[in-house]
Amino acid sequence: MTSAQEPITPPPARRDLLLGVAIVAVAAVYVRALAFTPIEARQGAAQKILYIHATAAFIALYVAFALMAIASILYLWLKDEKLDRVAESAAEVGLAFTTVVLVTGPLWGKTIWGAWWTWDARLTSTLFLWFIIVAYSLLRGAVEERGRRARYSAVLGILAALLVPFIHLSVYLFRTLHPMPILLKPSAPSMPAEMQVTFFSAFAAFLLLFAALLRSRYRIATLRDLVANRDQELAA
Amino acid sequence: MTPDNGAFATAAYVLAALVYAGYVVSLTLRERRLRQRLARLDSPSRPPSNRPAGA
Amino acid sequence: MTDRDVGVPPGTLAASWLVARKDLAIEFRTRTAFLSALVFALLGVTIFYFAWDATAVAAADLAPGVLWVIFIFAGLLGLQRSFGSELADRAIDGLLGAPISREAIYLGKALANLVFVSGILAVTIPAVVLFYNLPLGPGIGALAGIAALAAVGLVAVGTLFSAMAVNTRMAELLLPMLSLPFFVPIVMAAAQSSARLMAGRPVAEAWPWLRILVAFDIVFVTACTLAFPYTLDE
Repeated sequence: MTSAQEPITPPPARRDLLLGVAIVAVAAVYVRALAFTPIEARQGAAQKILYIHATAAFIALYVAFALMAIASILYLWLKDEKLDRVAESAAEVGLAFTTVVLVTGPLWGKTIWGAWWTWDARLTSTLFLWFIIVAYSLLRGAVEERGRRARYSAVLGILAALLVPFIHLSVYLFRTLHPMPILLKPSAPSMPAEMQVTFFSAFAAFLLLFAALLRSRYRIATLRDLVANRDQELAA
Repeated sequence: MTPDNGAFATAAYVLAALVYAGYVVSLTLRERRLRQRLARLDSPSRPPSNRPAGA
Repeated sequence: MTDRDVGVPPGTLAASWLVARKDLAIEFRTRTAFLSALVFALLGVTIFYFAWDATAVAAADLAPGVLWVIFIFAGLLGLQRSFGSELADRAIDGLLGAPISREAIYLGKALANLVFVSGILAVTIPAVVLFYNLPLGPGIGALAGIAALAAVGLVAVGTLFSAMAVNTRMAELLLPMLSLPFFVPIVMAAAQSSARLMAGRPVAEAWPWLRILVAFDIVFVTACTLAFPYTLDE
């Protein structure tokens, strides 16, 4: 039983300017971080991983995942299909960012902790965020009917948002009671001005990238639903 | 003594770029495929619909 | 005709109990699911012992970890069946047609699952005490209490996801995938607090973990009860 089809306006096909600008911005940040930002004396060049690791981590949790949760709540309240598309897009783009965190984290960790993985509270929480978003995607893949898929995803999105604080708290508590080896503490709070500029430029560039990827993914969701509508009309 | 770990930084930056680039490519390909499917569905070879003429 | 003539439909709590009784009656008649989960749990407890070097790690230290891991997987087996019976011939329509709130259906199913899981624990915990040579003392009572709290959390989340998974193509795979991230805080809190209490450490050390467990139960029983109606097709 399918839900009533809302009319969908096809997104026009034109060059994605936002994505182009975002890619240029990220490339510029890469150049600045690697070539024009001073090396931190205690940690060495590896400290620069911070600029892509921390920004990806922040965006994955506080932008992508938060957007997914909010869109989920709004969908259950307003039942607008567009909100479901926003949620699914935010989740998938968030997965890309989360993957970057998990790939860059151990590389940085090896240099400051001496070990690839030490169950650090934040990295472990990010690992679970990754699992949650994968589960969300698998759920969406397993439900065929659109209305039900949207409802189930929204429920999972909201429950996952409730889960995240518990994961953070549990892993943090676990860590503080099980001290792990730390050779160097990661970046001290006060960064010299040049590094701060790099950090905030990186944040802005990756945020722009997130917005571009989100819009692109949203377009795909719209097109997919449009194709499904047309398929149904033809079958009728 | 500043440790010599530039290789880690390079590896991290390269891998991150690969993840993002791979995702952009995936999105581009998927959008292209969907637009092609849409174009085929909207083509004149579509079977006649029940809608009244001029609708 | 007034309500009094026709019969007032049961309130939420009474209705939950009726739903639970129905599920438990069905389960009790065949007992296959319960016995399978029980055997799985006991076998698991035994197998785990041989997976470790008994000279390197004392069995009593291993016990809490083993107990909680087995608890999750045996629990998942039990949860798999909770909505399975409603699928055949759309039996759930009968339940939805009854004059009871949707929340009552969820609470009833969750209650039946709680009884099921508690039954498994009632046999598994003594088995762990036996096989892993746990000292009998107040620690065992604490273990039972923690097990009860953990079971509530497991059942709250698992019943909801079971309702969703049963309507999909890959129910057996999907239920663990959805539930396991949610079980992580439960297992962590239960294992850490029970390990400390059984080692005779002061309650104050286990208290932060117990608080997490209680908070989890309150948050998720509420959230899942409220979310359940959204998983129904109506």
